[in-house]
Amino acid sequence: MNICTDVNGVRRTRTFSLSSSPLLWEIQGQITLTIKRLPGGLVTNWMHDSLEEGDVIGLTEAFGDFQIPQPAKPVLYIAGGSGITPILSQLETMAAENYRASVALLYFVRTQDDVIAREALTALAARWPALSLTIIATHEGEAPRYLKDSDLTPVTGLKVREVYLCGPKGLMDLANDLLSQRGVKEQQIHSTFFAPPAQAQLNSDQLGGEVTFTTSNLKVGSEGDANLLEIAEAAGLKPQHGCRMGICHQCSCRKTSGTVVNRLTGKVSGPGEETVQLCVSVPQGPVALNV
Amino acid sequence: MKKLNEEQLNELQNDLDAIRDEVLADLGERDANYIRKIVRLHRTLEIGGRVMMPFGFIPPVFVAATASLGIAKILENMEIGHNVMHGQYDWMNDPSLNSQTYEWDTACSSESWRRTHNYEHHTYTNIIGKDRDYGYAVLRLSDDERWKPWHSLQFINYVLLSTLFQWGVGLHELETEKLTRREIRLRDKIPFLKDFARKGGRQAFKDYVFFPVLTLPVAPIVLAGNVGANLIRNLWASTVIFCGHFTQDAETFSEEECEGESKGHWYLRQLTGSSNFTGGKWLHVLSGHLSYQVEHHVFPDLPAHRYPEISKKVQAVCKKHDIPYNTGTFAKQYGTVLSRIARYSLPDALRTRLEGKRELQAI
Ligand code: FES
Repeated sequence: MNICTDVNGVRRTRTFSLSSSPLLWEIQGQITLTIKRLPGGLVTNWMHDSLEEGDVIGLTEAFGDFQIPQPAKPVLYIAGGSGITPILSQLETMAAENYRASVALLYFVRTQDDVIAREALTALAARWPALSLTIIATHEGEAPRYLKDSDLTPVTGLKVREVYLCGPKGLMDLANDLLSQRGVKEQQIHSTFFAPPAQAQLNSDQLGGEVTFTTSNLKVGSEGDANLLEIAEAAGLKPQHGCRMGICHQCSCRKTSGTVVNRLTGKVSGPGEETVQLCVSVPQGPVALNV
Repeated sequence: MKKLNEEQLNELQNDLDAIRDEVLADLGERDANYIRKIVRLHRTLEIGGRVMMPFGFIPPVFVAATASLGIAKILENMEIGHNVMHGQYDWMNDPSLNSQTYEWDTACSSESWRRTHNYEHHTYTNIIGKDRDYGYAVLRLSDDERWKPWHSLQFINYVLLSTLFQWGVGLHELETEKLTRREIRLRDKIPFLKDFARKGGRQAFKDYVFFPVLTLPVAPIVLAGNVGANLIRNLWASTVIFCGHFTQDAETFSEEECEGESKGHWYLRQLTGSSNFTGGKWLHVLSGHLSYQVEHHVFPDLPAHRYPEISKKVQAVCKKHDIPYNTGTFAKQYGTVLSRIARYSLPDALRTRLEGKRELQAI
């Protein structure tokens, strides 16, 4: 679900996963989100430092296609880091319903200290025999120890399991490869990304990128320091504008995703949805606009 | 206008950009709290005024209700609407304070306002023939425009324009002067007229039909109060705006001197074409901080309540470059506006003779 909140006067929207089961909502009207501090993350750090009991924040409806199979089928979860949170929610639900089929969880963490919700997980495994729990630390030995083929060997009946992936991109790519080698079909694999937003660079050769004009259903590439207004006009669009020098805001419109650099201030925007002035914004990587 | 060479203009630009960057880097919760506080105050005054109005058969209540609604409209138009539409609060990413979607409580549609004001007026400030806000095509305020006999009655025009200001602003984009000169056809203005009828109609319906009918037995009182509130707003808004560019020493420019101008030249024009007035805190709030017209024109998209804070720095920049910084008390500035309207209603020969005489007397 999305959380919407004002951080230092600016409204920010970020996506998080529910870590509690929907049952908790039905019975007690409560939900749980497990949110880890991201280094340099504006919103997660603000939540840890400034959010207090009794504060009000905005929530959207829950969305996504991470759903428990009905009727019950054997399941394999592969989680990395804070990617455990949506899985935790599913495990709680399944345990409460006494889910019949076998459930395996491979949980990758950097070190054993980084395990999120260790108590909840061990308690689940103790009271619900269908769950087999494996926690693997990737950065405790000499060399990093990532997911490998032999990790999948103990998982019985792999080919008929529904597989759920949630974690950083590297882990997900690796898992997809290994699974398909072992003959797991694409339809059986469900994934949600859980990567922290890329750090924006202010390097001028990083400028340019693919610009998507969603309303006009158009995609064009751009290079160098061409601004969004010029890019749109070169693509044959006629966005509203006035001064072309950043004064009048006639060219302001919604950016739905992507990073832009303000030519006047050199400031780099956030990755999320916000209003930008086309005539002074230069894309830095792919950008999507409501134009 | 004071002349600066390219190098000096660049330096001026750097000096002003530095002030701007400092404020931008500091924007945050304080600004968000400020504008939300004003929005709450506006709502309280508007609801208070509307609720009290039906009890206006008691004279002091009528005065309080009309004043409350009038001040609510002033706050909404000047400190909220005008400033939000400049994009001063776009950085907050709050859809209710977004420059492109905000709709204000006046006859002019936000869309039309953003075109004529944000773009035309703020880009071409005081360029005779390009800035249509200069005299609003009904007043002659400089000798760049040739005197015609009907100008001698322009004081009447001024009073009418002030009284009906929201309708004048609403119809501004019709460009009647170009229609009469046959530069454009009425047909081209049909989309604008439709838009005007929609927004103006809605405003008139709300204040002059809906609320009076809602309180039928006392409808005439409510109608009178609503007319009064709109009138208060009209007179105040027009007065503030006139003090911003039509005072004695506010300069005008020609198209030639501004062709292909640099950002530094644009800055210089904003500094010399605008004028401030001084006063207490609430005078500034009620003027939407347009009492700091100079700062507003130099930095139209910085939150307006910051203008008093940066005024000293802007004055220092002016001093450094030997550019006049036009300010004075409200009474003095408004006095020079009235005298300017009166003086330019006279043929040039007569005007210069009178002005000459006055100068002699002064010596
Ligand atoms: S066109 Fe005026 S700010 Fe972009």
